[in-house]
Amino acid sequence: MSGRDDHAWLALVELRPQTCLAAAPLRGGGWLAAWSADDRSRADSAAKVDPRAIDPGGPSGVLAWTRAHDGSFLLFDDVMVTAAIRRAQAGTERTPYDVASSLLIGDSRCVGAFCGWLGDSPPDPLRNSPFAAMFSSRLLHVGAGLLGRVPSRAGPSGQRYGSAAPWPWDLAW
Amino acid sequence: MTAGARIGEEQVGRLRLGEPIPDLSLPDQSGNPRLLSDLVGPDPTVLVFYRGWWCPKEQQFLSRLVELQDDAEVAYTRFVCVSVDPPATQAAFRAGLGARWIFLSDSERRYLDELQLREGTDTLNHPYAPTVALLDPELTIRGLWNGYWYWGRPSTADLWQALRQVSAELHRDEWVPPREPVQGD
Repeated sequence: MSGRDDHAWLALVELRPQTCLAAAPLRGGGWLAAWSADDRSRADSAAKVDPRAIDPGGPSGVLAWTRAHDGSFLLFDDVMVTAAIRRAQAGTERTPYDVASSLLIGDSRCVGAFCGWLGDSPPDPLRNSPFAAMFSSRLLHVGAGLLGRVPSRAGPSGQRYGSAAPWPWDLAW
Repeated sequence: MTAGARIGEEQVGRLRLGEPIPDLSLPDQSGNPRLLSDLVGPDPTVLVFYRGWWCPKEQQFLSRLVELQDDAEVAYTRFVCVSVDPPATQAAFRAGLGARWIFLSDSERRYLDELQLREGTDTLNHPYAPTVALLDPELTIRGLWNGYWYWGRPSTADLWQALRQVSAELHRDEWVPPREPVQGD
């Protein structure tokens, strides 16, 4: 078991935050920024993310980014979420992902997810995203200094009731 | 020696019921370095040493495990497979099976002799002798099956019964549901 925080916070923002754990510019404008679990200065739109997805020393990458509109969400055990996670764990799309996480608000509201690859642009990552059916999706070209590598979840167990942690975190509850 | 459920064979190779298995450090099917202790969660884990993708017995047994994975998913149970196949071969085999759990590659045969699980009758592939272990969160072996002969392996019913027994021990204090409302989120 790890004593590590089971989540960090992640949000799309217009400007680089003055205080944050890590941030990287997006091609076309804006920033993707992350805050540690206990950082109250995080953006209001921030959602919980697997902390291993964040690495201030990480390289650039490309994400298939799926995010609900403000106020919209699916319950974390909604069949759409569960089905997408099963597809992601099976790795039936272009695999393996370098980085992936669900985006969680509170204990049980899934407001999106992302998966992606570090380094140069992969071919057609949006079509290969198992999460693209949940909410509207877009492609993010993320600069260096934010993205880490998230290994596959142990499986086949998916999300644990009561854990309140974003998928695929599985090191501690 | 740890108290608790003791299911199946007393010993297979160097694996013994009631004793911990070494914390295997191996790459997964994607080549990521993994520790067995990181893959084992707070619920039981089924650890399967299998010969390799080429063996029809392994194909059959793992197909049966795939049938159990939807139950394992909602029961927070984890599966881990170990073989001498290289990661890329495991990834293809795993995808073909439709498995959603981690495969660990010991293509360098790092633990084959340490665990005394080398299958001596296969001098071509030098694989693991088929062995199934049921682990608790401390990596202690609670169930053990020697699968050299196919019927030595646990059936789905055997695994279900063993998982029930070990889960009941691990969750002894909460096995019976609370009768009073508890705080939700």
